Amino acid sequence: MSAYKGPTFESLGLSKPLVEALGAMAIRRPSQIQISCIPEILKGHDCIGGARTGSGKTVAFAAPILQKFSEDPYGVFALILTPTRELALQISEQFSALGASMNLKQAVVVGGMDMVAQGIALQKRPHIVIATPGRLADHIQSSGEEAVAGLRRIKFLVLDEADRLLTPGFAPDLETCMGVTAKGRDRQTLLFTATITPSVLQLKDSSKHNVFLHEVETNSKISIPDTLTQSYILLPSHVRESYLVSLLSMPENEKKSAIVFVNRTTTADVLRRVLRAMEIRVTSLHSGISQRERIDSLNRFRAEAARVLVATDVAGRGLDIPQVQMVINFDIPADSDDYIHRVGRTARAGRTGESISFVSEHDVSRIQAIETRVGKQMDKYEGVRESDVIKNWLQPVSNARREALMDIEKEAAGLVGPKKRKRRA
Amino acid sequence: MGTDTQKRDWFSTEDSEDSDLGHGSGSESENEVKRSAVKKVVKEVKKSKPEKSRKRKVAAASEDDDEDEEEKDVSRAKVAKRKTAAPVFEFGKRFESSEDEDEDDDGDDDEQDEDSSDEVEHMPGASSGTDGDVKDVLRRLSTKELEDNRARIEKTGVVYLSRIPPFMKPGKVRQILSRFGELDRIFLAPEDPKSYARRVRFGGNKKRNFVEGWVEFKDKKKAKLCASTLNGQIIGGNKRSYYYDDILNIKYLPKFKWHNLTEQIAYENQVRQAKLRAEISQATRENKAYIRNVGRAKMIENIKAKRALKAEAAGANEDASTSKKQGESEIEMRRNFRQRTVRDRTKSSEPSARDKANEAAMQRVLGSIFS
Repeated sequence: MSAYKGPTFESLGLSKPLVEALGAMAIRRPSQIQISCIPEILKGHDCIGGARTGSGKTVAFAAPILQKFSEDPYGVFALILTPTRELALQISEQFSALGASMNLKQAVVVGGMDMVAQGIALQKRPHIVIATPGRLADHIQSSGEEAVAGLRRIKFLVLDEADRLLTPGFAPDLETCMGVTAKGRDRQTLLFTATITPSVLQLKDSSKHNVFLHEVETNSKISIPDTLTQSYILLPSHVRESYLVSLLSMPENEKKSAIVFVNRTTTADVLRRVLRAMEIRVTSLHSGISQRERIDSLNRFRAEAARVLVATDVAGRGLDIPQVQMVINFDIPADSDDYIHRVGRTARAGRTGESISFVSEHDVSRIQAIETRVGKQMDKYEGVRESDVIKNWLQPVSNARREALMDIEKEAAGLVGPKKRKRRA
Repeated sequence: MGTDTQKRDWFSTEDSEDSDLGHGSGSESENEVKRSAVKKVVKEVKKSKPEKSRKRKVAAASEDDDEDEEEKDVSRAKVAKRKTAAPVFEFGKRFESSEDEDEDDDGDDDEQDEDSSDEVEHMPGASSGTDGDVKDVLRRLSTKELEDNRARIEKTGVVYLSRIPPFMKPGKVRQILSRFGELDRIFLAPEDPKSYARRVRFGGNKKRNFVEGWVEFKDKKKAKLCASTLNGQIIGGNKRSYYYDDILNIKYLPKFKWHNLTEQIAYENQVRQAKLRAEISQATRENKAYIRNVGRAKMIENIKAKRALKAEAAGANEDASTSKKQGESEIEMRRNFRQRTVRDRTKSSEPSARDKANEAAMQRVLGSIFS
């Protein structure tokens, strides 16, 4: 600690209680993006922050907001918008950890949860509102002026994962949300993401005032951490499940915590059942299950009750689960930015991690696009032996898969409910 | 009397329910002569296959994941039994087993089965199978035993309770009805889990509630007598008892046996088994094709490697160039796979119809961000 000569959080202008709270979270030295963004935000500038995954973007906006808040605490002080519900909940946790000493009250307004309770919470004017655009727009339209009034005076509007939020799919809801918030110089707008798209960059040029831009610092603007090793396995698409099971049950991977990304909720469901049949402690996170189950399974994974999380892109962004050592791309995403966010779930904050992509015969051009985007050739993953897959896994896994498909069909017909997870003592 | 679909729902709840939640019914079938024998069998099976039960049970694909550990062993025994018996009556047993979980872990016998030619009974030591230790304990029933069995089933009668007094448990039902004669099985359909959850959430009673039930009498005359006597009457008994003023609604179900309750599910289960078998054989075929292809790929690679070696050995000979040409022609693409589309946000690609509709809103949002 004494050898460290660079800037500290105190020198960036944060107050003592905040620095202590950061210390309690084991964050002692500011990262690059924090060093550059925190003073600018404190000065009152709008800000676009781009930094690689797991580099502390959340703290980069949370800390200065709380600093400003402690100087003038009132009503709804900041509104934070995120693309996914789980991310909103995670940011809320970080705010409560940071703001514990200043009696911070916050409301999480996300879909899939009780709307009336959220409306009441909004009426009580929490200090920070963390929301997904759809549900907040719903409240603005239907919960009445009382709930919305607080939002008219916000000092900060944060768009986390801004490149995802600023896509046409979110536009109508975002418009509703922005319609009620404070306008012009009364409000500071902060945009954060790991992958800055040209449309986000255009915003800076089109703006009338001074917008501070922090971009990824290193050469060729690679948003992937150095500590991440990326590799691929070339395989036929119909034996991917067997390869996955083989990969997950290799002796060196047996203890590792892994996220398996797929492109569709149905694939996630099938895969969860298959892995469960192969006695791998697995849970899943996708939009096909209820919000309660989603939170539940994420918590199960966080608490390491489950070793493998099968997820769609809903878990692709922002989620910070330190123990994840391996990210497996069961399907290759169409968008190379999605790939960057996916593999960014591991190798966070200087830890090591590996990502393995399953490249089937249809995915070659996708993986090439990703390699150009990332600016790096991937290596072939040599760990899984074809003979091992054929000998040990092919038949049982394909049987389990067929059975899983039948179960899904049966459940879809409404004949039986889903099997309950067996509780362990 | 409930419809078939309703019935299925209860049974499935039973199947899926965790053991700690308990089951729809506690049934204590006492008539079994062979019960002790069955227990012995179960113990033997347990001894012989202590840990395997939870391992890779895909082979025994018909089993539930959620059964208890001990249950598992029992069900293994059952699987073996099924192999020799007609698939029709597998389900009956399974249904019973889920019903009997509460009291102990023994398997039930198949007394309700009618298909006499296929009937099989547990008996230790009587070997007839080929499948190792489990089948050692199976043997065909003698004709006399079969006749006895059929006569016994013929004699039974089932009554239907259209409502169960609130929170009355199977034990109490048994106590009330057994005044008329010996009972065999009881099944009480548990209430909808949603209504249970709602009640508990609003501070209601946390006890299990049942909506309707079936009770099997060993003697149908007793069943008729019971139904005609108790139907529409208050339960009575001690004036201060909880159920004193509650009314029982009982009907004797003519020409109805216990197995009629389960045959629908038995049939469905049988269909499912058949489908699963077909699916698995299909999967096996695909796997074989894959393995064959892998072998072929290896062979081709080896041939290529050998050729390359030969070419090297030939050194500067002019045929090296020809063999090289050959190699090149082999590398050429044999098949082109359709590649999945790559989406690139940096270039503005053709937007979808929905995106176009939102484009105007998008522009307004972008304009207002740093307003």
